[in-house]
Amino acid sequence: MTFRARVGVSRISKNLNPAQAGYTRSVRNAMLEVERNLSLFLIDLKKVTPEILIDSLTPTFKKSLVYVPKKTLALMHSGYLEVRERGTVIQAELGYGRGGIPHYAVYVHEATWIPHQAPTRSKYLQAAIEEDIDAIAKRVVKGYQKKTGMK
Amino acid sequence: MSDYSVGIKDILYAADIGNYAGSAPVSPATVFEIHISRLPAEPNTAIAILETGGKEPNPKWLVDYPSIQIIVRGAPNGYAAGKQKATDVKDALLGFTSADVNGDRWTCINMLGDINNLGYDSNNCPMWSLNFSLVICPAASSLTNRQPL
Repeated sequence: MTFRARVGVSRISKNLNPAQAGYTRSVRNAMLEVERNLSLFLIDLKKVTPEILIDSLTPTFKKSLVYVPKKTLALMHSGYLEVRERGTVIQAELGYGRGGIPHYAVYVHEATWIPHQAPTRSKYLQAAIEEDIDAIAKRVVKGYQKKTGMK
Repeated sequence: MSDYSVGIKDILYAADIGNYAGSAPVSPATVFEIHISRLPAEPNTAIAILETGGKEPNPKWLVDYPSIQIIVRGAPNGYAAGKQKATDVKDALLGFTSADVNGDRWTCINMLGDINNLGYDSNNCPMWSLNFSLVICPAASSLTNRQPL
């Protein structure tokens, strides 16, 4: 993640007196300090983001583990929650059946006409996310507030 | 709120995606039959509209966020036509313009994921599922405690 803060463009004409040029320099230096602090803050934000995402999604993942059918436990054990960093993008992924193993993960999820013993069900992931979506957003906000000390 | 499965059926029927039991086909070439709440054993070429819950409705304002699942089943070994039908369903619903549907205000239709290939059933019919999230401002009923927007 890179960040540059710019505020306008300073132009100093040849006829300005030294006092004005000094003033401009001091403003520039102050802005450089703001830019440095902001960059450090953003670097800190990037560092804490994976942990916040994991913390925010863990309750949802646990809910999906309650819903997932457990006939052989293979589907349950295929569940995962992980955070990846790709360039400037930090991405959290919650899922089942990665790489097509077990091959029936999508079918069991989508086959709403097949009955399951409660609390297991089809739509085991979608239901957990839909039920939790507002809470996830709140947990993310609280996570950043806690990690950064901002209220 | 009127039955949103019926609203979906009406949109698909108007777009000539499929026939509905008892209705005259929009086009003779339409061979897919639309069913609500179940996927019957016959005919093979069928579209089922199934309710799958959804996000919690707003307790103060009349705004609901139901989800629906649409299953498209093609003819035996009819992958290409079936996949095209699933794509047609996606095109007809996704990005639906805000409009009044059966007395309710439908704000938008979003898709949850993309088209899922479910493989083949025991009759070698290919199947796909599509999931949609709806935002609906239902008409006020006499029982509601919520307020219209």
